Parts: sequence; C-alpha cells; structure tokens
Amino acid sequence: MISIKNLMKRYDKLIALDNVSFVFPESKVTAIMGENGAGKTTLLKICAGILPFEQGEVKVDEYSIINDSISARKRIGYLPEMPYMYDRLTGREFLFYIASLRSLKDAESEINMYAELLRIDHFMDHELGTYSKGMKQKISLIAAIMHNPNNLLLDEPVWGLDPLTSRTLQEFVKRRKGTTIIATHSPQLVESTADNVYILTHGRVKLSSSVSDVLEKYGSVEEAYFKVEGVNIA
Amino acid sequence: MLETYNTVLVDSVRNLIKNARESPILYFWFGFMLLFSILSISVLSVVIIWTEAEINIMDVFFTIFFLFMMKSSVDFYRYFIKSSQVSYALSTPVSQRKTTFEIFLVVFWVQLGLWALFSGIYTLILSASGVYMGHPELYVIFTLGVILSTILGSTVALHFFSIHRLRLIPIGIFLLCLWFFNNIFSIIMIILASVVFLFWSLRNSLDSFQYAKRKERIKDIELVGIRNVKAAIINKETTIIWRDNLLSSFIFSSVSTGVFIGYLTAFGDETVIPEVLRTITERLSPLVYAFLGTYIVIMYTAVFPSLNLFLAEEKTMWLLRLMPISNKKIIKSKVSSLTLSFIASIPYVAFFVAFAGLKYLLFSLWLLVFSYLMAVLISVPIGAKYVGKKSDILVLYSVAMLLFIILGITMSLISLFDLQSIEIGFFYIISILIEIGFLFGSLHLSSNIITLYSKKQKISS
Repeated sequence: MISIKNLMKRYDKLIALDNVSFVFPESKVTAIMGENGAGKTTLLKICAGILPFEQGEVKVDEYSIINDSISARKRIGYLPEMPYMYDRLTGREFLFYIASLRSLKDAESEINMYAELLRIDHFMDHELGTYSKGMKQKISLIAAIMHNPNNLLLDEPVWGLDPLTSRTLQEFVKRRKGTTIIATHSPQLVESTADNVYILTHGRVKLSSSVSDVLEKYGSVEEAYFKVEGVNIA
Repeated sequence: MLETYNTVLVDSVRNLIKNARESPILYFWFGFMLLFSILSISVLSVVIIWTEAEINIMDVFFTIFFLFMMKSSVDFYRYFIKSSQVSYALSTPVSQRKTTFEIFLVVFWVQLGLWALFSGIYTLILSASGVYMGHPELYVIFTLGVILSTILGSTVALHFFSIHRLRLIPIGIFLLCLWFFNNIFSIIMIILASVVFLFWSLRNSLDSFQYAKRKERIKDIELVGIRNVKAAIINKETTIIWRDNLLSSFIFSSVSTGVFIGYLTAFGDETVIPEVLRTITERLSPLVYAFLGTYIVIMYTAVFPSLNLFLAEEKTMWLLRLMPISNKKIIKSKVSSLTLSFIASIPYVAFFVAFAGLKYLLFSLWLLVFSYLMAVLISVPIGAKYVGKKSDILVLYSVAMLLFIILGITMSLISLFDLQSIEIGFFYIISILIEIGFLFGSLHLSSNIITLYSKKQKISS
C-alpha cells in the first residue's frame, strides 16, 4: 500500500502537485490519468523515491520514503516513461547488475523466465545502446518486476510495446497481488486493467472513483475524462 | 532560409547563458583555466622570442590544426551524429544535404569564433609584452588552417561513424598533401578540394546519422553473475571503462608521459632536443618536471574517471536512486573502482625514475599518491553536484585549474625540504594521512550532495 498526505511539489514557480493526498490500496490497480504536465510522472517518481518534494508525507507499506528510504525502495518496482540505461552493458549484464544491487541471489531463473515471456531472450547479449525503444522497455520492465515488489509503479507501460507483449503485460498486472499504480493516457488500458482511477489537472485531483462507477456513470473512461477536463466533443 | 543553423545556434547560446547563470563559480573556474592556458602559451612564446631560439612555424601550425580538427569532429558528432533533435529537420521536405550543411556551418562558426577569441587574447598579451606582431601573412595561414581543419574534422566524424570507413582515405591524402606542400597556395588548393569532398560527404550524411554498431557479447556471458553490491558497482564501472577502451589509453598516457618527462629531466639540456624546446627544458628542475608529469597523468587517470563516476550517470541516476542501497555505499563502491585507473598510472613513476634516477623514487611515488587522492577528493563531490547538469569538459577544466593551484602550493612547500632528509619522510606520511582524512570528508559530502531530501524534511517527517 502507498499512502500520500498533503504532497506538494514545485518546479521553480510551476506547481506540479498541489497539496494532494492519495491512498493506493493493496491488491488493487489504480490508474492515474490527466493531460500532459498534469503531474502523473512526477507523482510516480516521488513514490519511487527518485524525486524530492517540498512538503508532505509518502509512505510505502508504512515505511516513510524520507526516513526509511531503503526499506521503502525494497518494496517498490518502477518502470519509467523513458527507460534510460547503460548503453555499453548488454541486457543480461544490466539485469544481473540490478539483481545484485537488490541482493537477489537467485534472480537468474526469474530473469530468464521473464526474458522468454517478453520475447527478448534472443537479444539479451546485445549492448543496450543498440536496442529499440520497445526492447529497452521490456528490459526495464523485467528490472521493475524481477524482485516481485509489493508496490509496482508503471509509467506509460505499454508505450512502445508490440501488441502481444502489451497484452501479456496487462494480464500480468490484472493477476498480480499487491499495489499497482499506472500512469497512462490510454482509456482502454484503464478499462481493461484498473480497479480505480484518478484524473489529475494542474497538480490537483479532479476525479477519484472506481472504474466500475465511472463506466456506470459516464459510459466509458474516455467520456469521463472529457467531462472532467471540460472538453466538449461534438 | 537557414532555419536549422539558426535553431541549433540559438539553442546552444541559450544553453550556455542559462548554465553560466546557474553555476557562475564553475564558469569562473572554467574561464580562468582558459585564460591561464593562453597566458602560459604566451609566456612561453615570449621566452622563446627573447632567447632568439629558432622555431619552425609549421610545427605551431600543425599543433593548432590538429587541435581544431579534433574539436570539429567532436562538435559535428554532438550536433549531428548523436543529436536526436536533428531528426525533425531531416524529416521535413528541406533537402537533407542542406540541413546537414547548416549543422556544419554551426560547427564552422564555433571553431572560427574560438580561434578569433584565443588568437586575439594571445596577440594582445604578446603586443603588451613589447613583441612585434606585424605578421599578417602568418595570421592568414593559421586562419586558413583552422578553416581546413574544421572541414576535415567534420568529414572525419561523418565517415568514421558509418559503415563506409574507406571514405576516410581522401582525408588521409589531403593531410599528406598538407604535410608535404605547406605554403599558402597549396593550403588554398587543399581547402578547395576538401570543400568538394565535404559536399560529396554531405550527400551521404545519413549513413552516419544516429550510427550505432550492433555488438553482441557472447564471450562475456561467463563473466555475468550476481555479486554483492560493492562488487557489482565496481564490475559495472570497470566494464564500461574497459569497453570504452579507456584503460589502455590510461596506461598509454602514463607510460608516454613517464618516458617523455623522464627524458626531458635527464637530457633536457642536450643538443638533440630542438633549440626551441631546449630554451625551456634546460631551465626547469627535476621537481618541476615531476610536478608537470604527475599533473598530466592524474588529469587523465584520476580527474577524468572520478568526475565521470557521476557525470556519466546523467540519465541513469534514477536507477541508483531507486535501488535499496545507501548513498554512502554507492559513493564508496564507485570510488573503489578507481583503484584500476590508479594502478594504470603507476608506470609513469617507473619510467620517470628510470630516467631521472632512483633518488626520485620515493618523491615521485608520494607525489603520485598525493595528487591522485587530491584529484579524487576534489572531483567526486563536484561530479556528484553537477550530475546531469553540465558537460564533462566544462567541469574537467574547472577542476584542472583548482588542482593546479593546490598542487602548485604543495610543490612550493616541498621545495623547502631536502629530498634526502629524514624530515621529508615525516612530511610524506603526515600529508597523506591528512589527505585521507579529507578524502573521507569528501565522500561524506558527496553522499550528502546526492541525497534527495533536506535535513529539515527528515526531522519533520
């Protein structure tokens, strides 16, 4: 579970997150939607412990991201929007490096299993600098899930993935236990995987609801998004 | 009309102004180092002129020529080959050759701007020293050399980073022609021929755009494994150093500097040394040689890798921050990986002592260890502070200046001692111990620098 209280984040004068509070419950998939610059990626980065913030409290399974940072980070898996990695390492070397930093002594079988599942196994010994965006996304995804984290943060997870891998990922997310947060622009992804949805606008929560309630009230997540954002599609 | 040229130039200038405003101290040191370099060259020139030593002007020409050629290659690589922004301009209906030519123009004006700045300051200093500077024909030849080096440097980058490396052959022919026929008429003819070659090269510029060589590393599979945190970080750092061929260049620089500086120490006043060099070499003491040699070696084997421990993490810092390990462990592990580059710098001492004499062994070893530790303790926190924010050249130059001053003061202190005395031994030991204390302080500071949260936040939460 991840709980956030009165979170405030600024980039110079721009307020990215304006005193927001969330509770992302256990065994639920929560989607964060919002226009570009609404604060979705910022929120995920703060939860992952890789971005500082000015004010508020973030707890990961009751561990403060500030004071118990190492315990909190042990419980997190994070897939960034842009998966930057070390260009001169191979996919296999990179994943073993991450497994070493996470002290996962028996990660080899997990790595091989996920590499095969995501059909990246044939490229595991190529340097990452030669990978396409989708291939990097797959390696980054394995790095995010190989330690079986209780809290999984996915930023635009299907962006750049082929349809089959995208489907595999969605099935994986639906089946997994623990807390999952997905930042996305895709209403289809929200409908197919999420239990709850938040819509952010200018760093504030405009809508907080279960996906089933949204579907009942608005007919589709896309329709709800347009209504909340005040967009009138004729 | 020149949209790409204007955009790239405006973007570069704005970035420069923004960075200078954000980090004035860093830019102050950087500017100081540049001025100091020009001043040093000017002083050397004045000494050479006053002693009326014979100088081959073409040696100076080729030195400037190759420096600008390297700079042009690096700039063209940065502005075109590895620039993802250029893909927008390349995908418009504007001719791709025109777009690439506009990028070449940016590189061209940057080199000419630098040449005008440096040569202007140099001329001013020499004029102020009373040296007669009325040689316009030399200035024209040198400027033509800069133009030619920019053209050839850009074409080197274009063809080196492509699968058609045989296209580099004409550049070799141009350089040979320049070497054998180095008068103003020949230089103009070579420039004209290289312009034709440049335009032909620009037609094939897409061969090198975003060039990446697909490398499979099947042989290294056996070395892949799960290690403890410290070993994993050290292994990753050394793997990258190895694959970038840095280790061999560290050893090469340390050996060649040891041989060169050692030779000058032992035979600096011999007639086999060119007169122009001898006017300087015969005036320097072995201590000064040792200082200069060590400074050159540690700039390459200590400052550069220490700064890059963090500067190279520009876009991957998120990975380290995400891992459940303390900042202290990250810093200590990364610094431990410098052991390899320290070992690579030891041949310098061996070669220097082989020429200068065994009596300098202890002193040279101390100087190397002292300078290396000093370089690390300055570079690591600075690299950590500017991760993802500043170019490595900028930070490297700033640290170089700072280090030069500190090591210069230390050398002044050393000159007060007799190198054969017992007191010097105490000085060596105490100075290293004090430095180790400072090193731990520096590592602590570095781990605080990469901490995301303020102390106030830690207390309040």
